[in-house]
Amino acid sequence: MPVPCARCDSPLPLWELASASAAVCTSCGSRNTVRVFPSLFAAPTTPALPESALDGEAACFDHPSKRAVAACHQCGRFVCQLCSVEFGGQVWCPACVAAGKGSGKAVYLEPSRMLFDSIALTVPLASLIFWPITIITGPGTVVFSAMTWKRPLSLVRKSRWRFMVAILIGLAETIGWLWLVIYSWEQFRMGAGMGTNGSR
Amino acid sequence: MAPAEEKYRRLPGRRRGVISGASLWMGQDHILMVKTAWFREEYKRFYLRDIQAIVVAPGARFYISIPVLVLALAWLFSGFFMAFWPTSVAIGWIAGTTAMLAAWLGVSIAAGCRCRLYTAVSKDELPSVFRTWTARRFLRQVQPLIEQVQGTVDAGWAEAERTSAGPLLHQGPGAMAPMERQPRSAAPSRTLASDLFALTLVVTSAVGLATVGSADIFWNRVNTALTIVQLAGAVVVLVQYSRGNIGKAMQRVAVVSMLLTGVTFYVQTFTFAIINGARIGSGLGPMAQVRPYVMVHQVTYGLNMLLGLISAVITLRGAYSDEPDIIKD
Repeated sequence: MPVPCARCDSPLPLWELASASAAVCTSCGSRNTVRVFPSLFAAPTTPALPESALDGEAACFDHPSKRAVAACHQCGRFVCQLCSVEFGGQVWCPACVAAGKGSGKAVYLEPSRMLFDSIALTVPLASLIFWPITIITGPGTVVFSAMTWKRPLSLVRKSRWRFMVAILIGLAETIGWLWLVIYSWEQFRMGAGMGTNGSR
Repeated sequence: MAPAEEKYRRLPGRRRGVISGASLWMGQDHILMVKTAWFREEYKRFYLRDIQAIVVAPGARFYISIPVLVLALAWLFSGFFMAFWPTSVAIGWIAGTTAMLAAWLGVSIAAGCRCRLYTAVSKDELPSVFRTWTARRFLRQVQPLIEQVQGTVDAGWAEAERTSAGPLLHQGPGAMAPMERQPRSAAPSRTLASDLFALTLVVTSAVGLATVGSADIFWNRVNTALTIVQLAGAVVVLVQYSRGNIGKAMQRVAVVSMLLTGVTFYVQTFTFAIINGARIGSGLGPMAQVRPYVMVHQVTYGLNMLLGLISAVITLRGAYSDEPDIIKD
């Protein structure tokens, strides 16, 4: 059971691991700090083979000749040793795992998430660099935040403050544009009025 | 079944790049590695029961986080207005910039590390653990939790492996942790090269302090020659350290002395150029010796003397406390 060097991945020699607080790699010379745990010495597990079902015994749904050892927690089908899949403390059959049943609950299996709150916050801020497009991004941010408000956040960040700040910035930009439009319209009207009066 | 929204506790180490980042979190029974790219987070879970080993190796890691980058850009931007500043402020700005750059380089080279986590089927680098102090804190927090789940390995596991007896595993808490084993006999704290290096430090600083006010070209050349010898000594000490022939204390002295020489060189060059440039610009002639230039040298020689004394202490301690080895016996 070799412990590899963290820098070059070469196996660290046992005499270094045995005698040193820092194991020096003979390949790259790095002084590795090593922590090992008992699972390093665990023998590799071989998959358990299903036992044949005797007459009258419950059999696996997919392998009728094999003895059932459990029932699928999702669909209730009997599964043999080979078919039983441990899934978050429950036993599932391969079909349910493949179909992704209960994937909404299986947070601990999610490999990635889209950060909608970060998108909502970045768009109105980044658009300030080229401010005329805030006429679209301002209201767009408010709508986007409202639409994605209930979507799952990051696994490790639970607060929705990014959404709140994004909505505030989006509203500010929208109000700014509305004010500009109204102000310009008023100016235009006043100018037109003065022009009319002047012509009289 | 695990709770739908598990609570995570942040573990030491965080990397925040411009478009990517990484961090580590502690769950109920696993370590969660989070890698961020643009607006997507990717997760990888390492269950405590599966972790076989965590290995940390030192190595240079050059990273600039977003907060540091923003601060650095703001600082550099302020330099555009240098033309309007008094000379002393300009010198301070240049000295500060040089010192910050040297500090970043020093930290990146001396305190960088690579941390890997091994399981039976994977070997993953933990990108958020890239400084030695972070790695130490990470191990301090994680090791007891893994040992709580798996138990501990006997201190002499590697020796047992060598003799094919197999390691002795302790399932209960309280067993001796692997890193608490006896360290091997340390590398010697002094060698002939380190003795000469220590001597050079003292001589360079003594000669430099005695002649710092002198405009004589002879002493200038002597000081330059001594500095070069001192740098060569530091390089030899570093080479000896990398070969395991000398201890860490002297290596640190060598690194500090090299950094000090580098910083001094840049500070004196900038100081001299700016002050004389300003003098020539205002119609005055250039100066051979300027006050801040002398001051920088005095500080440097003073610090060099301190380093010389530290290395002398290390040398003397080594001379009187090194255990006799087999050859001496």
